[in-house]
Amino acid sequence: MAVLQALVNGTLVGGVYALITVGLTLIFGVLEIVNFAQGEFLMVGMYVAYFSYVALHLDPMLSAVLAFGVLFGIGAVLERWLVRRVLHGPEISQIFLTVGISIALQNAALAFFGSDFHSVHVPYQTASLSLGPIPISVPYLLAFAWGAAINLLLYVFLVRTDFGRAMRAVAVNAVAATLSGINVSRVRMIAFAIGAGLAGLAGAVILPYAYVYPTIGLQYVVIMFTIAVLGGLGNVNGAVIGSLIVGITQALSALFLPSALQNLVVFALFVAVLMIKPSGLLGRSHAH
Amino acid sequence: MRHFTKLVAGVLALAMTFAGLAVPLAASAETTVTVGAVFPLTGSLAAFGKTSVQGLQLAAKEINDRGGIAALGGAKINLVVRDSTSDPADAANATARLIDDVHPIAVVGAYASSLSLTSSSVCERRGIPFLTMSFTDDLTNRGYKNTFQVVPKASVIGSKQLNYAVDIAKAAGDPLKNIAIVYENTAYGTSQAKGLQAEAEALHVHVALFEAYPHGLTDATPLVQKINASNAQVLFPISYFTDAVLMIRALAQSHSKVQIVGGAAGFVIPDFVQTLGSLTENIMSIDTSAYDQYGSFEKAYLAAYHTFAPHEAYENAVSLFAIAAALQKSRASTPAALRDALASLDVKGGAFSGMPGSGVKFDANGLNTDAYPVMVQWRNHNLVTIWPASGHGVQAAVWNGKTVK
Repeated sequence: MAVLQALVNGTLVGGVYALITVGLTLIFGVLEIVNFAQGEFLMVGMYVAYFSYVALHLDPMLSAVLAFGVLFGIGAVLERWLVRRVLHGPEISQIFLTVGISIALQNAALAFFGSDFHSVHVPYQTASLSLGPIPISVPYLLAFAWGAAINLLLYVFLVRTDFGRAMRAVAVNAVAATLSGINVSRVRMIAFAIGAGLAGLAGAVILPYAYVYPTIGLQYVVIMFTIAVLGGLGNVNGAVIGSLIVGITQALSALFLPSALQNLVVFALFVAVLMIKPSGLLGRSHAH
Repeated sequence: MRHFTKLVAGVLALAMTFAGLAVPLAASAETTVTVGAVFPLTGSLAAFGKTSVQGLQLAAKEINDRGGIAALGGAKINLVVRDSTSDPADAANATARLIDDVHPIAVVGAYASSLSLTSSSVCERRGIPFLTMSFTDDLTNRGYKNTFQVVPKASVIGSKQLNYAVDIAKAAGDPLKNIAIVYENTAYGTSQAKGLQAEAEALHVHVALFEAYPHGLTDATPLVQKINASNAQVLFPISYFTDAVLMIRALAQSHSKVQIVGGAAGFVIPDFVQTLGSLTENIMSIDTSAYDQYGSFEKAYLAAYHTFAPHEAYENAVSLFAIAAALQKSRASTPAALRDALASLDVKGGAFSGMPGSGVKFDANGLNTDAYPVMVQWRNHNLVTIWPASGHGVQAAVWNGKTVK
C-alpha cells in the first residue's frame, strides 16, 4: 500500500523533474554548453507566473505559456549577444559566462522583486483525487500533465519537423550540418531560446505547490544536473528516463531510509551508472 | 614649472578633501554611537534579514527621536548594516570587516543560528558585545563573555513547544499520546528538536516519528507520507518558511487532519499567511515574543512596512533597546565597558513589554533569564497568543475544534 503510494508520488514528481530538466539537456545537446543559469531561468518563469497571477489573476497553468514566451525571448537575446561569443572558446569561459548570468539574474531579482517569498492561491492547490485508497495530488498531476505534453511536443518537433531535424543534425555534427546548408547559428539560438523557455514554463507550472524567491533556482539546479547527467547529457529521452528513475527512487527510498538521506540512494545509483557508462544511460560516447 | 603647479594643485585638492572629511568626523565622534548590524540580505534567508534590519532601524529611529542617549549628551545611534549573506563563512568575514571599518561599540546579528555562531566568534575574539535573537543553545554554552541572547534558547523553546501542547490538549480533554517531530538538519533544527524529544520522554508522550530532513526541500510528499503513516495526533515541524509551505500543502492534499504546532521561524511571519491563506487557520507555533504587547513599536512597524511586525523584527529592536539602556546606565564609551554594563543590566516593561517576562536580564553565559516562550495560534489570518494561560492578554486556544481557556 505504502509502496504503491510511493510509486504514484514518485512517478508524478519524476514527470515534473522531466519538465524541469529537458531544457538543460536540449541546450547541451545542440550547443554543447553547460548552462548553469538554468535554475535562474526557472526562477524568472516563477516570477512571470506570480506577477501574471497578481496583475491579471491568470492561473499559472495558463501563464506557463507566457513564461515560455518571456524566457524564450531572454534566451534568444542571451544567446545572440553573450553565449555565441564563447561557444568556440575554452570551456572555462563558458562556465564563467553561464555562472555569471545566473548570479546576475539572482541579484536582479533581489533588486527588482525583493527578498520576500511569494506564491499563488488557486483552488486546486491542495486538492487531491482518489485512485482507490491512494490520494493523487492535483497540482502535481497538472504539472505532470504539462511535462508529458511538452515532452511529446518536443519529440514530434525534433523528429517530424524540418527545423527539428536541423536541430538534431547540428547536435550530431555541426560542420556537416553547415555543409548541408543549415544555418547553424540560427538553429543554436532557437535551441537555447527553447531550452530557456522550457525552464520558464516549468517554473510557472510548479508554482502552485511551491513558492518563489530570488535564489530558489539553487534548490532545483542540483537535481536538474543529476538527472541530465544520469540520463546522458544532451539526450532528451535520457532526461525523461532519468527523471522518472530519480523521482521513483527518492519516493521509494524514503520508505526505509531517514529523510535526511533522501538523496543517498539517488547519488549511489548515479555513481554506479557513471562507473558502468560514463556518458550516462542514453548518452552517446563522445569522440572528442 | 607647469608640473610643479599641477602638483601643488593636487596636494591642495587632497588636503581640502581630507579637511572636508575630518570636520564632520570630529564633530560626530561626540554625538553618535555606532552599532553594527550583520544580517542575511541575500541568499535563502534574505527575507528574514530584511525584517530584522527593518526592526532595528525603527528602534534606532525611536531612540534618536526621543533625544538619543541622554547620559552621553544626547548621542544618536548610528546603525551600520552589512550583508552576512546566508553562508556562515561569509557572515564571519562580514562581521570582521564591519568591525575594522567602523569600530562599532556592539554588533547585533545575524538572525539564523548558523550565521550567529560564526559572527559571534569574531566578536568574541575582538571583544565586541554581540547581541542576538538566534535560538541555538550553542550561542551561550561556549563560555563566551561577549555574546548576549535576548530570547530563550532552542532546547527550552523545544521543550515548551511540547509542554504547552500537552497542557492545551489536556485542558481540551484530548490527552496527547502520539506525536511526530520533523526538523531540518541545521543548528537551529537539531537543537530545538532534541529539546522537544527530551521533554516528550520526560512526559511519557510517544514519539512515533523523529525525522530530520535536508533544508531546502523540492518535494515534501515522501516526508508527508511518513507523517501520515505515524498516525500522530500532533505534528511538530521545526522548519523555516520554505519547507513548511511544501509540507503544509502536501498534508492538505493527503486530507491530513493533524494538528500542527510549529517551531517559530517560518510559521510566524507575514509571508506565511500571505502564501498559505486559510490553510493557516488554527495552526499553532511556539514563539518568543507576544505580538499583542509590542505597543508603539507595532503601530510604527505597520505604518512603515504594511505588515505586522514579525518576532525577529521586534527582538532585534529589543537588542538595540538593551544596548541603549546599558549605555544610559553606564555612560560606556568602549565595547568592554558596554559589555560589563550589559552583563549587569536589569530592565523591565516599556519597550521590553512584548518579550514574555517583559524584561532583559542576562546570566553569566549571556542568556536572557527573564524571557520565556509563548504559544501563538493563527486565527482568521492573525496571530494571537494562547498560552501560558496566565500571561498578559492571552486568548482562548482552539484545539481540535474545541475552545480551551
